[in-house]
Amino acid sequence: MRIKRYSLLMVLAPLLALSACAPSEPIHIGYLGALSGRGSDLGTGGLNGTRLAIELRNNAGGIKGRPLELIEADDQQDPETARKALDRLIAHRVAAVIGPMTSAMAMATVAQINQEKLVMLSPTVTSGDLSGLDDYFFRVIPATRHFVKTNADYYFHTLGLRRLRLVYDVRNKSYSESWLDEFSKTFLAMGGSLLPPISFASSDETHFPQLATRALAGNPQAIIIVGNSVDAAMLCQSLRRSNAKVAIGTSEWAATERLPLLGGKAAEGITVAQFFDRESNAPDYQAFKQAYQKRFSREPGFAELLAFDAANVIFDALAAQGPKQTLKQVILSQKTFRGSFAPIRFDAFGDTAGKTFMATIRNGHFVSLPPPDTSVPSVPSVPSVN
Amino acid sequence: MPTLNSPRFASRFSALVAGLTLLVGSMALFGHLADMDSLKGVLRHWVPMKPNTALAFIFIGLALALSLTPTRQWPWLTLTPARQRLGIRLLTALPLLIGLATLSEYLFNWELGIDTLLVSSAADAAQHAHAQRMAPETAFCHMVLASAMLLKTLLHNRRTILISAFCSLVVVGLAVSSLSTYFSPSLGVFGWMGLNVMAGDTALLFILLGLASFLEICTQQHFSWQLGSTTTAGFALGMLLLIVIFLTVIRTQYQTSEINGRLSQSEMLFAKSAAIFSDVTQNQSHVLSFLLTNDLRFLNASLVASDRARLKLDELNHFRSRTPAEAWLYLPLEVRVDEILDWSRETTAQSRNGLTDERRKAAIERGNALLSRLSRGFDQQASEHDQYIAELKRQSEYVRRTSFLTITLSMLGSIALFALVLLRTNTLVSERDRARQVLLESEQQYRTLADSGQALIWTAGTDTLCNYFNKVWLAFTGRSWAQEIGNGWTEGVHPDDYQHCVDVYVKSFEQRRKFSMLYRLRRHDGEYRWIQDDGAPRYDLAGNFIGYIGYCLDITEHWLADEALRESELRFRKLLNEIESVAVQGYSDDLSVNYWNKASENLYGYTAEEAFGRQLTDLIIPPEMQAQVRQDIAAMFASGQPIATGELSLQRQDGSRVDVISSHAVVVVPGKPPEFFCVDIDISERKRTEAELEQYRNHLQDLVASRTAELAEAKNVAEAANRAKSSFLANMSHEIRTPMNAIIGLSHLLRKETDAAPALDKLGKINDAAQHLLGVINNILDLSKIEAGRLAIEENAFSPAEIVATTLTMLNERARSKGLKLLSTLDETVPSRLLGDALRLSQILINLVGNAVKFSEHGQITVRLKLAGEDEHSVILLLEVEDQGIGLSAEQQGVIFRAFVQADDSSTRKYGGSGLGLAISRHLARSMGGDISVSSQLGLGSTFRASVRLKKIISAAEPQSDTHLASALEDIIRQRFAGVPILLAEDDLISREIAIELLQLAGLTVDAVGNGREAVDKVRNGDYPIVIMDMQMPGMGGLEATRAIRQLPGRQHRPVILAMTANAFDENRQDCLAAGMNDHLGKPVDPDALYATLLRWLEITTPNA
Repeated sequence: MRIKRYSLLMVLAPLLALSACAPSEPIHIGYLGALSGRGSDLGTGGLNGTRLAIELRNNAGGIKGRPLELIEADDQQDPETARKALDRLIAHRVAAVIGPMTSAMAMATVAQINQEKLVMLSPTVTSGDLSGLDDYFFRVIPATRHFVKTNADYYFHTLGLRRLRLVYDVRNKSYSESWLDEFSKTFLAMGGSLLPPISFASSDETHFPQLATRALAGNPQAIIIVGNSVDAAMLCQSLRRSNAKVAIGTSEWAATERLPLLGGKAAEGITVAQFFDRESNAPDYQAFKQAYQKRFSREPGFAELLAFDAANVIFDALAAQGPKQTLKQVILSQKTFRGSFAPIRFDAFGDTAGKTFMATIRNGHFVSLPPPDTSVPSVPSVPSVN
Repeated sequence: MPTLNSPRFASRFSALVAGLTLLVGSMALFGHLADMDSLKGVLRHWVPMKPNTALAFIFIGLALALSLTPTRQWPWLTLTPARQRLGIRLLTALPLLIGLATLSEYLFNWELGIDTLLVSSAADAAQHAHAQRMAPETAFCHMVLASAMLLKTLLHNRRTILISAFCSLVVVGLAVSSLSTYFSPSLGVFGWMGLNVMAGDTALLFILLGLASFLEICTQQHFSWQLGSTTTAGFALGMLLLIVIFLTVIRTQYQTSEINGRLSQSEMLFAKSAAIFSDVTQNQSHVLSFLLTNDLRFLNASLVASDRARLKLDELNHFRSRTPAEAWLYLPLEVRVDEILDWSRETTAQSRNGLTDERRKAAIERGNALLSRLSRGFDQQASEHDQYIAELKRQSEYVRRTSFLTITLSMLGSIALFALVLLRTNTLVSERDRARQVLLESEQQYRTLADSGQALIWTAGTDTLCNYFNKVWLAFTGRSWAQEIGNGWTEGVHPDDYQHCVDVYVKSFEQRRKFSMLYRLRRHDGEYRWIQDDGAPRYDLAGNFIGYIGYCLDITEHWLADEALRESELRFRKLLNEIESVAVQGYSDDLSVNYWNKASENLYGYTAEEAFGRQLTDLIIPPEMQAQVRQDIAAMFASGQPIATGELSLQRQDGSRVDVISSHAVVVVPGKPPEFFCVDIDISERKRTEAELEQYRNHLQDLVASRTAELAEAKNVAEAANRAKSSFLANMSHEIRTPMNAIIGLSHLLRKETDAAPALDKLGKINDAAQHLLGVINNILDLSKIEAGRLAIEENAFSPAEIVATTLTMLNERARSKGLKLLSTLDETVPSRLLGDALRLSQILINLVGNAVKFSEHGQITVRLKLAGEDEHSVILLLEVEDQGIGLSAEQQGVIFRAFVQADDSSTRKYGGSGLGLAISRHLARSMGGDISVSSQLGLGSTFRASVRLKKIISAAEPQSDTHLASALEDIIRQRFAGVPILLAEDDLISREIAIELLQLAGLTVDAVGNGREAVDKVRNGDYPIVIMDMQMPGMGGLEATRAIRQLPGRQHRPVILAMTANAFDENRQDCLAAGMNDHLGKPVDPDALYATLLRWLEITTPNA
């Protein structure tokens, strides 16, 4: 028997040597987001953030010696397409999915991932519909209700606005309605009043001048757009053409680089809710920012940042994963992960807490605004509402 | 010339390789350490050996050298096999570890630092990250070779050796493959992967080392490589081709997948570039639209397209970074795309700030120009891409073709080679099977040989322990193989022989020589038998000692016979040697002495030592006899007949002569030259005595003459005395019988004349006394005749029945007087007439019946006549006489047949008798070829049986006369023959008176004369049927008268002349019959006998009376 083992070893040694020559099997990481269409800036940004995270992680040796490979999927902001895209990711046996970037897509795919028991970590989805559920959906930003108050405070207290109108995109209903609901409750509770909200379905055919006219009916002090950056920019243009005075604000959704680029003059001075403080000096953020600029020659937006954070959460969890642990177990047991600004803490349902930052656009760039001052009475100005 | 298979060649080759390895390894290592390029490698212009490789080679060379070093005591070190093994293990461990470590470095991308441990050159490090690292195949070869050597020291069995052989071949194959890299880039092992290539020196050394290791393994005892060098080379080549196939497959797969990867990447890059092109084109057109319409939707669309283009450009860049080979291809595209994207960004930024028409126009023109430039660039790139793809496909095809060719050819080659090897192996195996079959049959034959003989066969191994006993042995000892094996068999050796047996066995074993010993071995029945055990060392075909084999034979019988023979030989040798008076000498056929006993020493004066080897003629043969002796001996050897015994005068050592009687013998032992023995007896003394005797001889003759005369006279005197005695006896007999005749006759007559009871009683007593006296006289006379040997048995025809009847008639009276019944029975088978002595037969019968009468007081006496046996010429007649008398005791039965003995002394007194009757009767019966015996019970009676052999009468029987059993013969005569004249010649008056009266009583007419002459006259003138004639008569005796009568005319047969004489001897009777008489009646005349005789003759002579 000893001899047999020896001889087996002798025969196997070269084979083992040859097999070891092949590179290690990479870990597939899925990315789900809108990469085409008019509102693709969010998805494209998220993809770039994720790519950067993967490149950095691979340069650092991958996870347990295995490299990471990104599998991209384009949901085209369409539920059916999103589900198919997710199927494609599942077929690639991805370890986790980063995305989607909008609540509508999250709502469309959450059943699928629960069925597959596949962790999906969204960088940007804030819909309250997905809060408090023990499912495979995770997110690195808080649900809408956690930060809508900041918006309401800003508009009510800092800007002193009392009569507002919300214009929202029904194509991302889950997000926009939950934002609308939370904001309405809070603002009304503060003592403000809301004109009936006006909805629209985001598309190239949307008639923004008409939408602007409708929005301005009832003479609101401010119009808060709950929609993506392109819609926001176009609506801004239409609103400014009709009424240069009305204050304009956007929800966090629109706060991409596209907004100032597309909005141009019309977007100057509007209030934009932001998921992060662009002027932060947090070292991790600065490092990220520099890395991103070096890699893509541009400034990162919130989609890039949050996708980067989300990707790192997944990578850290994978690195910490034990032999008989699921990724979900790892995330829920470890709870706290490193984030660019602050540690990301998951509750039992995979939700996180956080806050929002208010900013405006000056000369085509986002500029942070001071935190809301609740004591200052509202002054009518050129506010933007989210 | 040593073949490849010979261990000598293998070890020499290995030694050479070990030396070369050490030399090259040391040289290369020194070259590296001293940084002398000329020493780094033997083969210039080829890749030099790496320092680690050189170090490993030094260790492997040392290990190989150590393995070849004979294990014995060196002046500075005692190299035991264990130490040798340990040394080899230590020496091979290092190459193994170096190989493992280097392979690990390759496989896991480690940096263990071992590559630059020995030599660290900054220049090298800068030039190539792993410039000093040994090639992976070198590491593998070191590992495998060291493992093979290590394995041999760890375990030594067939499987290990096979693995080692395989490893050695793998090393050779890899080294050959690596070496081929230098001749064709399409060959080789891992070099094409961009890894270090095995150095040329290294490859050559590995080939030699692998071959040495393989050869050495092939010649191991445990692994005999029987395929021959050609087949082995074929096998090795086949293995090499397999390795080539293996490597080609790997390389082809690697190259193909690489090319395919490049193809797909190239296609992907091109696709991406096309997509970018498309996006950029869209972007440009959207920007142009935005410029013309100022519609934000166009702006957004252009931004989206721009983003998409940037994403794809990013991907493209990412791929390009991974595939530097094609980076140049897409560089122009990237630059032009960037130009357009920059243009669109600038233009949109400007347009937001408001553009003059001219600037807008300029921007539009510039955009179009950029786009057409991009378009041209893309076309250019497309054609370059196509060329690149075509080149890759060509490469792929080349790889496919070369690998196909290589694999096909190698496969065909290896198949052919392995087929050849297989065929050869098959031939070898079948040959071996045949050989094995032959061997098995041979073994069976030898086993049968071993088991079917009488020899007890054993074999032992080199350890002196027995490991085989044939069935004969086991059957002999009755023990099992397991009991006998090892030293078990010695338990059966006789305790007295044990030590000797073991001593001989062990000593012979130590000296490896044959032995033959005798000892006693216990047989299964417990008996110790003498065994002759012949042992001899056994050797295998190569001449190695493998133990002993022994054949034992039970020689007990031979041993005992030999012992007896030796004893006998010793006895006779001693006898011959010690005997004093018989000188024995032995000579071989050339007449030289080979035996000389002590007596010969004494006789001839030569000691045995002096005599041995010398010639007979030189020793004891006097010169004058020598020629004759030589001639005689030559004749003797030629004929085998010894020279006749004779007296010889031979010569002693001192020259004196000695007389001997010399006997000779030629002894011929088959297969050997004849030997010749002389047995000489010294007769010198006798000769002297004879000479003395001769001197007295003449004197003696005189003495003898006178003595003879004296003796003759004495003889005459004696004969005269004898005659006188006979005459005296005859006269005595005659003189007694004559008065007895008177007494008996007269008393008979008186009884006739008186009726007075007292007188009759007294007459009876007188008669009895007379009869008794007569019997005594007769017996004495018979006895004297018997003692003188003169009792003659006559042979005449007679009737046995008649004898019985006559006898009974004679004794009837006496029996009746005692109140006894006398009966007779006659067996019918008894012939009526036989030849024999009737008188003696009746004498026996009378004696027996007389005794019966005498010793019986009552009852009956039965006489039986039987036939006891018969043959062609004779019968045995049995006479039985049974009485109811006093009987005889057993002691008496034993003595009664002796002369002068009676059954009882007291009986003598009671019954009287001389005690001679039975002795005489027995003598008579024996004289007639029979005997007498008795069976008796004391008080109940006796039965005497007398047997006699009588001749048959072959011729026709004579007319048988009637038997008269009448009680009174006298009456019968008177009734039938009254008046018949009878002439009586009797000189004695009383006898004459009695005779006349007896005859007259029977009615016969009697003429009596007193002498022979008167009787002759009476016969001449008268016609007498019967003449009764006395023998002794005055004037003319009876015999003379008879002769005179028979000479008378017509008187040859008539009258019947009956002698009635006191000359009762047989010779008298013979004389009478010879003289012409017809019958003879002895005196005293028994009247019954007289009447019976008369009646018989009267019936013949006067039948019609």
